Amino acid sequence: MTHLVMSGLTKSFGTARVVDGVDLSIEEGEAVVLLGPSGCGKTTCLRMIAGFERPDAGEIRLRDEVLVGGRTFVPPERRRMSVVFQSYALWPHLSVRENVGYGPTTAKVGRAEVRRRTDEALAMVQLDGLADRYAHQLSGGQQQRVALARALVNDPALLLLDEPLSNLDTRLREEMRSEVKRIQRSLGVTMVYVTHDQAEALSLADRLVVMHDGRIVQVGSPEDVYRRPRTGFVARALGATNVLPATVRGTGGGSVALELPGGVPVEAEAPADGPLGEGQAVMVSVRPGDVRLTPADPGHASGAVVREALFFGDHVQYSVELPGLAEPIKATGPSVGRLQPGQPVSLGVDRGAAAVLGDRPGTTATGHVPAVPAPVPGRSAA
Amino acid sequence: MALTSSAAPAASGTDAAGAPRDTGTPARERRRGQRRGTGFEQAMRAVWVIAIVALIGYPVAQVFGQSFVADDGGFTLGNYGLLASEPRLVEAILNSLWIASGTVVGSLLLGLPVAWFAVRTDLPFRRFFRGTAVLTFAAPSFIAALGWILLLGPRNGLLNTTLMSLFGLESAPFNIFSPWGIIFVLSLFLYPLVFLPVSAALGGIDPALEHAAASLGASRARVLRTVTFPVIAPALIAGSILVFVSAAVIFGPVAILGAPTGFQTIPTVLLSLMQFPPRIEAAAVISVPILVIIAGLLLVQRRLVGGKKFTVIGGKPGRQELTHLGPAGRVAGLAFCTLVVVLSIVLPFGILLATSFREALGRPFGADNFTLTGNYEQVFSQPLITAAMGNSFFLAVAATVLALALALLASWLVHRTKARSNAVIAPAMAAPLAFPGAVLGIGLIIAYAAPPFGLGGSLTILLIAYVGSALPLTFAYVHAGMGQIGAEVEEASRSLGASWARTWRRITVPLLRPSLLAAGLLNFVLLFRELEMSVFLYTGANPTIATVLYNLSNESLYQRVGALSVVILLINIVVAVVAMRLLDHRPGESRHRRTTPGTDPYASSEEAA
Ligand SMILES: Nc1ncnc2c1ncn2[C@@H]1O[C@H](COP(=O)(O)OP(=O)(O)OP(=O)(O)O)[C@@H](O)[C@H]1O
Ligand SMILES: [Mg+2]
Repeated sequence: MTHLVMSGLTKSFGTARVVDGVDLSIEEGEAVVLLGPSGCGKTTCLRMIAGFERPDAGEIRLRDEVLVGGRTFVPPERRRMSVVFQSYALWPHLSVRENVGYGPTTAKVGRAEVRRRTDEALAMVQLDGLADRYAHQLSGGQQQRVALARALVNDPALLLLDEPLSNLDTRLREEMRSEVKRIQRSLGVTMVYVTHDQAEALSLADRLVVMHDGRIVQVGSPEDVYRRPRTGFVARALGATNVLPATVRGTGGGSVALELPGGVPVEAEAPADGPLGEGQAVMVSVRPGDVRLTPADPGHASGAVVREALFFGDHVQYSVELPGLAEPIKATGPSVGRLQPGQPVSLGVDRGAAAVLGDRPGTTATGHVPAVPAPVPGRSAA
Repeated sequence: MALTSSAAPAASGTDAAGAPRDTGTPARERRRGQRRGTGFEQAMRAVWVIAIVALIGYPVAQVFGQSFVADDGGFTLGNYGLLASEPRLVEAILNSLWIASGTVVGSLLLGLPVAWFAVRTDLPFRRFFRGTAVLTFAAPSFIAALGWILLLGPRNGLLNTTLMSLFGLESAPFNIFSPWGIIFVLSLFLYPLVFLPVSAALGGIDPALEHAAASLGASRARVLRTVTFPVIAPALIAGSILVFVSAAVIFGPVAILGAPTGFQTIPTVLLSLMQFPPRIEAAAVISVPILVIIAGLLLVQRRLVGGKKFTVIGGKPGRQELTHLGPAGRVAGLAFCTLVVVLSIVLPFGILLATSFREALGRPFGADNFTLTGNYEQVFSQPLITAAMGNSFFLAVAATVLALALALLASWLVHRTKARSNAVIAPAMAAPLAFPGAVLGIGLIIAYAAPPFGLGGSLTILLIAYVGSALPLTFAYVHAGMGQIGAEVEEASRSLGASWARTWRRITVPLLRPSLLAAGLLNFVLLFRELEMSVFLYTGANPTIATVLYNLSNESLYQRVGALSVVILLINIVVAVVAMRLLDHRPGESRHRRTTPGTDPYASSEEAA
């Protein structure tokens, strides 16, 4: 059942249009992750859903009720949405128990019931023993759990989380990530989760929403978006990739045969949006892990040579120079049988591993491909 | 960061101030307190504007206006001719400048050495000396002046008579009733204004700067001149400006010490001009140039403090190298700092205490001239004094509460709403700092004494004055406190079902408690003994405690002056102690504040209580 619907949501601060016509519907019990670079309007979206910001235009509906739209504006306290903030926003003058019990106390459900629900929520996040502490007496991960319990205790219609794990160190972040997933699954709560961490996004999402400059650029299952990014931007948002020019050599059977510079053959799934013509120039995304390197004789056909090989223990990262490309291709390989810089190699790409992008050649900088998308400054209102 | 709330043309109803945008919100919703750009916000902004205009804007505008009003009510510049035709007006201005300059020199002579000893050397008890500098500033200067009359009065001053009998002098060696006496007393009172910023700057100097200079072979004197001094110069100049402005317009000590010889400065001449029959236009003509000059000086001061502080002084709390004082240095340092404490606190307040137990002023101190309660009984048996106590108590409490409410409103507007006009709120709240009590008092008389308001001599006009003068300090505290409470802390409460009002009650105000308490108690102390404005506004029917004390001293009833001073000081001290207690020991609150890792404003939280 459709739970929350946003349509035509728009918000400007000053002259900068921060959210620009966002349409999205969220199913009941679904975990939706908003992913995008810093400043793309994720938080603003979330705040509009929670009722902390009022959109300039557009509508938000929760089931049958219009939350905002036209002349209606339902204030945050009547939306039944719980928010987990990046800063946790725990109340320092209240104990853990009082923090978590705040929602039920406000709802005046009676002392015994407040206690029962608080205990339940604390047990859920495994903080039973710490109820009488204050926020500053907890570790970062424990504070995060309190914030989560406080949000869950109210049985929210929607759980909103804004980069909740970004203040934690890597190991704790991984632990909390699976914790969030477990809790969300077990309660069946609908969740909107904002992040710019690709691993969080891919592992938590039932549906992944990639945003850029205030707009949604792609929606789909994590696997779908990862495997079939529509643009170089989306491809990069989900991890290191090579965005390369290619030429169409043949189509048919739902797949496309392509050729990279140096005559390297690649096969990709046929894109949904329109057929490709033979000889057409396109851009493709190839993940480093899908590039196969095999040693070759000097003077072989493609002329590819290993320039750099960085050892990471369980794998090796290569950068490979290919004549005709300004930037080297990234590839990863097993740590046994490591190739040395200067080694001529022949390139291969796993079948179906490449994705044809919607970007036209020349529009995407063939330049260097950051693993984490660089911050995109707010666009001017062009 | 100036934010416009909404530039999108689609958003209807963006008003001229750039503030609220959703005029379409149904009234019902607005009352629920949706906070961004609502009718509620507009109403609050209007309340703030009206309050500021009534408390400050209108009275000050009246002072300017009156200086241009001719006898027939028309416009004239002729009033300014009074400055030429009445020599005593110019003389008062020159006297003010003299007193102010002298006090700057005196404050530097006291403040700089004490700052250096207390911050950069290993002088014993340096924390104590630091503390007393703050304490001095909290003690009322006109009461200190009363103490000095008893010490250095030309006829009976205790120090004078002692010195005369010791050295067989014919006449008193010192006369406190002189400009030098005024400068002496004011320097002892105002030197903390130099001491505090300079010691902060000295303590904040990145030691790396000095080490770098020293490692390049610079001598200690050279390091002082080329590195240390340039870094503290802004603080030093800023502090001196504050001393200058304060000394030029302070009323109490000047009135008390200048009266016998008819020595007048700006505030005292203003008071005599306002005596019956009041010459309002003359008072206005003096006030206007003063206001302009003070405003200019304070702007320079803010520049200095705001600009340099953060660029030159790195935030690195590296260990500073304390200068090791030799035995001679220690003795000299201890002697100097002790002398400052003795002169600024021990002697003037000690003599008042001693005098309050004296039966007759004419006879020397001794067991036969002792009465434990006599003077206090006399003080408390006078209905006038008990009434004044009641008035001062009521005024201080009421003005504190109102000022806190206004400061809360202003901070809320600044921190939680978006409007271009928000930029004027902080300067407006600080503006009363630039208005001498005398000028504000005169403005209030012009504005509200006569019909239609008819508030002359009422407690209400005193209340208006007190609230206005309390705004800068109150706002500074509340604003800072509010700045440390992130909006998210409130939003978390809203999203959990708490209304706007409940969020304030349960979250915002409790978190602000330390700031509210500190501001409230400090205000109470300062307003309870307020003299500068009260002396213009009170009447016999509505005395305040400070005006009673002022009149007692004019009548030379020094035993009662002593007793009443001791009572006022005791109340001050009790409130101050209570304040420190309340601020320090509150389980679960002030010390328990760790919310946001990294950005946590309360990151210095200590152990749990
Ligand atoms: N209250 C505000 N006033 C003015 N500009 C704002 C406000 N809030 C956000 N912005 C601007 O809107 C843009 C989008 O901000 P938003 O917080 O939604 O980004 P984000 O996607 O959450 O980024 P991040 O990943 O860094 O949290 C930014 O350019 C930001 O500067
Ligand atoms: Mg954000």
